[in-house]
Amino acid sequence: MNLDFDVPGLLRRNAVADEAGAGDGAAEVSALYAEHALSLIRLAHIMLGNPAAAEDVVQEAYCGLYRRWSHLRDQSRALGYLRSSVLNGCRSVLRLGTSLQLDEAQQPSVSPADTAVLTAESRREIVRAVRKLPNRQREVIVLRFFLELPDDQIASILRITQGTVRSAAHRGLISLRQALKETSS
Amino acid sequence: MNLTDDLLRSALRETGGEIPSDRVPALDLATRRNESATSRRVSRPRTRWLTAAAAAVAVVAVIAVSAVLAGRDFGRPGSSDGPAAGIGPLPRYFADLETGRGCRPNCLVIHDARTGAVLATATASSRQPYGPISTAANDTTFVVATANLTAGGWGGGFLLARFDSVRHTITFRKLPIPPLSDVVYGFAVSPDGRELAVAVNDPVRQLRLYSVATGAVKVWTTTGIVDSEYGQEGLSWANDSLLAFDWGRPHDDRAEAGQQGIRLLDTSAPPGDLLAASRLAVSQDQASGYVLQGRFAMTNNGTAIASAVERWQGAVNSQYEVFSARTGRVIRTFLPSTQRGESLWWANSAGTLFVGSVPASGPDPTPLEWISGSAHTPVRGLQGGPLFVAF
Repeated sequence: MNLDFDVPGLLRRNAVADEAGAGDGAAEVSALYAEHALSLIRLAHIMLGNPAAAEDVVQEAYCGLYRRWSHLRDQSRALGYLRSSVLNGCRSVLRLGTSLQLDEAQQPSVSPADTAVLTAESRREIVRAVRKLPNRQREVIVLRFFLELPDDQIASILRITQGTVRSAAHRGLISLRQALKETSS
Repeated sequence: MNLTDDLLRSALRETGGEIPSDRVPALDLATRRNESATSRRVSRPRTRWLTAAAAAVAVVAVIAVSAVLAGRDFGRPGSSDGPAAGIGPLPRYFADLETGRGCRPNCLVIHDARTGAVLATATASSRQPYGPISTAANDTTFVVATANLTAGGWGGGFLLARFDSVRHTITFRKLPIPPLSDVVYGFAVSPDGRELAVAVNDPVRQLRLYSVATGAVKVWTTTGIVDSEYGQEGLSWANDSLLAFDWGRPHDDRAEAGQQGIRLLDTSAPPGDLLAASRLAVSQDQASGYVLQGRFAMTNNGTAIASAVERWQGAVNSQYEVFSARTGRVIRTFLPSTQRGESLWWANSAGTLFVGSVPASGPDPTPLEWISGSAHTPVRGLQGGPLFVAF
């Protein structure tokens, strides 16, 4: 998979140091993996509907972070970089059409406790509709409603303005509601 | 199904929860680092050679295509001194919607187009916040949508705003267009200010043409979404009868394949089926390696369409491209001065664009600038990230 995304301003432009491995960062990246990998795999799974592809995207994101660790200007922003990389990796997978959607029969069943709020079929309909949204709307919706991120963080991760975050979320919700109305009618 | 925020939240959480916490594979950084380094070392010489060859071919091709097309479709760029020098008339004013610093709920602000200086401000009432804006060709007449608080979008009504360039005042008149129960996805006032094109998509999908004077309407119906994903930039007039519109998103199931992209409609033709009445000018084709960002402007002579484009060729580039309206081919590419080109509001046939891009250091505010050739002229004076901009 081609990891073609840099968070601008996060990485120093120093091609020579790329090979050096100075500062290594293995311990820090491993710690970040332990802390955030599950959440990122779940994020990628929502986008792709394919656990294996989701794991691959996340592994590549961490690999990219590790390769660039010595260039990080602000290591406290590494999580934002990872989220950006995962979303970009998901876009690449979707663009190439390599995301193998699971058959309905293969979908893991929802526990009885969950069905009290949302039936499995309703949940699938909602997620199907989310996956059909345009890229930016889908990403904004998932970052806002799954990761519960505020608009300024979403804007930073997606490199768009907060105004665009708000309008994309607004349009995304309208499209979702319309799609679900059409599905149920 | 009535989708609430809580239901959406639950659905996403439960879907994420399909990945159990013990399913996180081990991370083998050493192996992956070595694999990546080896891969890079092996592939670099060939990649460099191929890249150089491809670049040379691309340069020759671009020069050849430009030589053929530039004279017919898109004029030569202006002076590198910037948009103020010798490239034909530019709008004197633009409007934008701003919030904060005394603008509650929001304000319509008129700026000097070259300096960004604030010339006039009108504050919306809390019951009628302003929405997207569109501008007629005289650059002092604007149409402003107001919120449709019931539908949760715009189209509660439309106001004609006139800017007095001597007194620096704004006067409003309500247009005789009934409040729309549908969700408005975009609108654009014709250059002569007499007609208003409105895209509605929910619950029906239509392109409507309202008379600004009487409210009389012509309707074209459609299957795909007439899209202006972010406000008013998905519709653009070339002249008083030629309208460009963005039709059918990449994931729009109801849009006919191969017909998606920026389409041209002769609005003097009788109403009916929108797809049949219009022609495809710039294709939105995933296989061609780019995605139109739904933010574009047509030149006033109708020969070219400038759009924000996300193009991937090894890396994703967010830039501005100018397409021939006749052939759909790229005539010229403009790079933003910042990392990511995002919005495009105005273009002329002399090769000048007015754009907003996202800087490398952070998302807000969006720097606005004139681009002419390789010259970038920033326009300042806007507070915060502009919500909507109109020329």
